[in-house]
Amino acid sequence: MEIAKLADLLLRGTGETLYMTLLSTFLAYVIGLPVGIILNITDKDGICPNRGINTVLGVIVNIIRSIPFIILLVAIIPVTRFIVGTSIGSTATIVPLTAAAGPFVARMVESSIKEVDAGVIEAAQSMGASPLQIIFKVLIPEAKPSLIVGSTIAITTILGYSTMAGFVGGGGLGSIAINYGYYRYQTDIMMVTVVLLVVVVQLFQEIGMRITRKTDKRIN
Amino acid sequence: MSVVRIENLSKTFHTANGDVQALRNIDLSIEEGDIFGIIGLSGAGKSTLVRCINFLEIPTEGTVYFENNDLKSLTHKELLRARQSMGMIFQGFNLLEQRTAIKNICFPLEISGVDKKSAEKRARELLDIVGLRDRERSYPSQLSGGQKQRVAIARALATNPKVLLCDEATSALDPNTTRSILALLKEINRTMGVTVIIITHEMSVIEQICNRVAVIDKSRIVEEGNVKDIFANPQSDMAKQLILPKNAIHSLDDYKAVRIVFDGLSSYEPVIANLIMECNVPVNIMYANTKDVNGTAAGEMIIQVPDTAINKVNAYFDRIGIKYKEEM
Repeated sequence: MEIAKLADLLLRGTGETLYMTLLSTFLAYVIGLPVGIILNITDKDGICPNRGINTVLGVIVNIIRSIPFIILLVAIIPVTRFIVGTSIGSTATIVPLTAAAGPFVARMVESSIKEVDAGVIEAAQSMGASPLQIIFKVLIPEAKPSLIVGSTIAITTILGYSTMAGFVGGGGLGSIAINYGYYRYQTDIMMVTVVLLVVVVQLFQEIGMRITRKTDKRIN
Repeated sequence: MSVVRIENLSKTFHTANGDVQALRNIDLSIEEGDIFGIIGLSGAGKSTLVRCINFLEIPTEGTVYFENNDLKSLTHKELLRARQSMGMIFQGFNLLEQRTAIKNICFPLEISGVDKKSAEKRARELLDIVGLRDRERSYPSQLSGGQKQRVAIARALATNPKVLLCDEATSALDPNTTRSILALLKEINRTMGVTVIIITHEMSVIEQICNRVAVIDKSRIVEEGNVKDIFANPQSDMAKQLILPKNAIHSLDDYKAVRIVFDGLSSYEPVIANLIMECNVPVNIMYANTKDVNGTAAGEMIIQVPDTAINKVNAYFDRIGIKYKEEM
């Protein structure tokens, strides 16, 4: 293959991967952030203990998390078709990615919020803060550095998932690696895509860590 | 008028290992302007008691009145508003780590819906009061323990509460810092008229600033009254254990041990020297723990005097107005 064509292919692949990863991460947080917070506050030690809600949500999250991504990818094809109109291409991959990452993000958010010192929450309660005020003025701001670390982990995990989608026509660097490297034995192209993936992961990790260091006021 | 009145309060925790009764039949009345101490060993139930006062813990039985309102009868909204009239500080300070000192102090004001500008103005006044004007932009991680507690005090006072609850507020601080924090609390009580309720396991805290004290032992209040009276003449075993020196009293034949308490006598009066000269008795000091508090003597001593001279000695103490008690 000519260099120009290859470069174009890889560039498009990287763009698709970033598009899938970032949009899925965003949507996963749209679902996972509230679910994680609800899981935390409805826990028996939370600010609004509610065993029913906590158990039901917990079970749903666990069920989705136990399904291997590659199975989920295929299993929800009808849903994907319904939402996007097709089951191939990078936009279609966003549906299973979001479905798999949402519960994962929810657990990450839950554990980040659990790190907030119970004493600080008690102090807010002693000042007459309502549960909503505690969520928005205490839990989220105090957990922010941990939430950012979590989102870095989430984004790299989702990036990994997105490459798997290459097996079912998902697009992005993953499908390039599979189509050229696996099906056509072009190991060199596969190696290049892997290197590109490593670079992207490194980039996200570094950016995430930098933002965390900047926002966390506990480290001085 | 009592600000906080507790009637027949009990609290039971249901745990996996069975029920634990943390408080039994507590009756207390805390008057406006008091600095009220609640002292006991760890596990006695004092932290639970202070949390019952602002309903962070809901009593299993009994009633808590805050400004004559039964807290149990309030709606959730009314309870949140009542809590805004009760500041609270903690052993672990519990500041918001991601907020600066001034933003921490603004926090309760934000909650009660005060606009940002007036909140910051009020926060600066409070930073002045607690002596941290120059640290308003510092984060808690940049402050020392004493400074953190000062920020916490300022935060607790932001909404002009009637009552300040202190849960072991000085237990994590060194003795010097403890003294300065207690002095600040006393100052706040005097100038702002805030009733202060202090939970502690240290008698020295009670001695330094409280006017009234309740001694709590095994979930019950075993003794309650003016600090001076209880300090001079503790009745309950727990109060004795907390107040009296340990192992200091061995009575010798023909000798009597007498415990004397200094509270309010001039520290410039040489009490023991005068006793020796006036009564012409040999005095043996077994134990002494006295200090000068702004020109008055505070603390206690255990002395031994001969049996034969005890009446003379007691008469001398009566005359100069010092509290004493023969130990054995």
